[in-house]
Amino acid sequence: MKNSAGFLLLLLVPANAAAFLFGGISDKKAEGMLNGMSANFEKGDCQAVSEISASLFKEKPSSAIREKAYSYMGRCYEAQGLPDKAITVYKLAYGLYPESDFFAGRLASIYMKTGFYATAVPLFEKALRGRSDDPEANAGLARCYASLGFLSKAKPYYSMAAILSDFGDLDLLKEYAAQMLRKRDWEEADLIADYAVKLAPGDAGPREVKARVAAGRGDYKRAAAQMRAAVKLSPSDAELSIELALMELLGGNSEAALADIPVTGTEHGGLASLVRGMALHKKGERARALEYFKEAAGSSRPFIAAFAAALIKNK
Amino acid sequence: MSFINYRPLRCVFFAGCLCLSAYFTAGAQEFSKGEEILRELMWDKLVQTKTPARPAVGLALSGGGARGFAHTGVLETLEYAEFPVDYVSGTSVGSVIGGLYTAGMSVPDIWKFAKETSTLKIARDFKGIKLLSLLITNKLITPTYINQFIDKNLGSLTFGGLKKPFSCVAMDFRTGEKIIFDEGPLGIAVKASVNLPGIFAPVEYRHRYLVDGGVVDFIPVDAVRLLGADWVLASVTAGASTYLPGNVLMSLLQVIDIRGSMLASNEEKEANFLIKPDVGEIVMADFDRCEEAGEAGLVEAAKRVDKARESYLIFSAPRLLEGL
Repeated sequence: MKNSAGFLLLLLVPANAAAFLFGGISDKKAEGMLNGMSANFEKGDCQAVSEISASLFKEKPSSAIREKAYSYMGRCYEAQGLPDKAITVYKLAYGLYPESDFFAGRLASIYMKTGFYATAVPLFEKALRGRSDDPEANAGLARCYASLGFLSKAKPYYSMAAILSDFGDLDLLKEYAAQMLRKRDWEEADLIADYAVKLAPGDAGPREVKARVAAGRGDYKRAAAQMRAAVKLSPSDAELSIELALMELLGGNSEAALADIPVTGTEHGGLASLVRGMALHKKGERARALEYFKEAAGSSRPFIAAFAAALIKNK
Repeated sequence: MSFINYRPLRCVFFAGCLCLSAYFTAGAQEFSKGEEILRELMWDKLVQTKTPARPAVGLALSGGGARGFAHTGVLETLEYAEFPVDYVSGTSVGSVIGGLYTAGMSVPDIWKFAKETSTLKIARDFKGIKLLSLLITNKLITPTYINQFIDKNLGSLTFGGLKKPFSCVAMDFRTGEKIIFDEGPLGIAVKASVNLPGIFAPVEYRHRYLVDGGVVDFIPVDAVRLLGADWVLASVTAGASTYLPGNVLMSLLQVIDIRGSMLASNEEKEANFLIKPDVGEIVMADFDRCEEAGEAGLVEAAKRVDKARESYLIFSAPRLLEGL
């Protein structure tokens, strides 16, 4: 980071007094170099982009050319998985071109990906002031707000991002629906899950969302039906089957719950034992239930173990 | 939005990680899918259950001056989770937020109040304190604008007329007794609970001279248990300010603040779950930063709410099982 900052500062040092004083004197040459950067960037040759940039800045090109050069450099660092270096370039460029929505947006995106959501928020807002129809910036701002817990603020940006992508981005739709579940906004979660089902009818995820929506509304019959559809789409997923069993149990159908619990290994055994124990308890088989609660209390998952332990303590 | 001082949260949005559990835990801690299934489905059942089929939940809101507006963000997060809140208690600013909430004011409207506090005249009760005149006249002042706000928003209400049972705490300035209000007119009780000693004149009520309850009970966990709560979530905005007061007034506030924090360290052990927003650097009288405090409350609550739900679910497990 320190080295790259020093390198960037060196780039700003005037190599040619005439160019420094009068500016743009080498623009023709600089434009050629910029084209070279562009071509190498398109080819994915970031080493070449970096080398050309060093020569380019010595030419003291015009502001417009420098701005483009910074964008190629930053994107190359991003492509190489070097967010620290990309941030250094974008920060420098954003300082020089504070009106640029591009640099604000790229900085925001990197901050978001590295978990600095609060830092990313004002940058995304800045980017959106210039380009309100940018799906990436809308999704990014939504994600930052959601990650910080501002779910109401996140919702309109998720909505805008989904509209701008014409409801064709499955990952975005799944994320949007999941955040609306977290907000317990059943109507919105259901609506978005419907779009996801249409887009990817073979994906179990959106069905699971619809099942959660129904369970949240207290409609366990509908929840179990949706969950059964999810299990059908992904029959090898033991957790989906346990989830179905729990929905059956919460809907009052302990027989169906017992039938739906898969035989699992130790990985999902704690939850399966807990659900089995609760179903047996409901059937009145208290002694057998207790055995399963004891099994679940030994789970490596702290919440499952503590929940089961609380049930044992009560016996 | 201010978003200035928040520490970065752990990024959970990895490219290609599309399982529901990753999204459910965004902004919070990571859980296994199995734990997430258990938590979410049992939670749905729990929130559809009325007391006494589930344990009653109490929400205790601490004092803390301007920092106390962090409770607003905590309330918003609890609303997202549909966290059942059966009883509420408040001390000092917690009594104002709690009073507004139990009177039926929506969380967005409480936010509006937090956002506008810097421009409301409430801050003038602090900014307008003239130490020289205090010393010359040797008289405590009346917090005119705070009283006006309470009269306007809570003055016509009684504890019995609130949407949820509520209590607030004050102290008898003559005896040092902790006084818990849970019946009668609401306005005067809240005025007493928020009435800083040494600056504002004690509130005279029922032959007592009452001042801010934060001096004796910073987090009113006992008060909310007395109302009937079985399980208590406390929102605590204790100070950890390293700010060096520059005058007599700020020194007095700092002493009250430190005293509150000392009480809090003992009282918070009585709660079943704590949410402690990172607002230590906001000074008690810094009413220009109420919105920032609210945001800090929301961010911290969002990080902690899944653990809070798990804690309450574990506490409720036996009753839930019987209700299946």
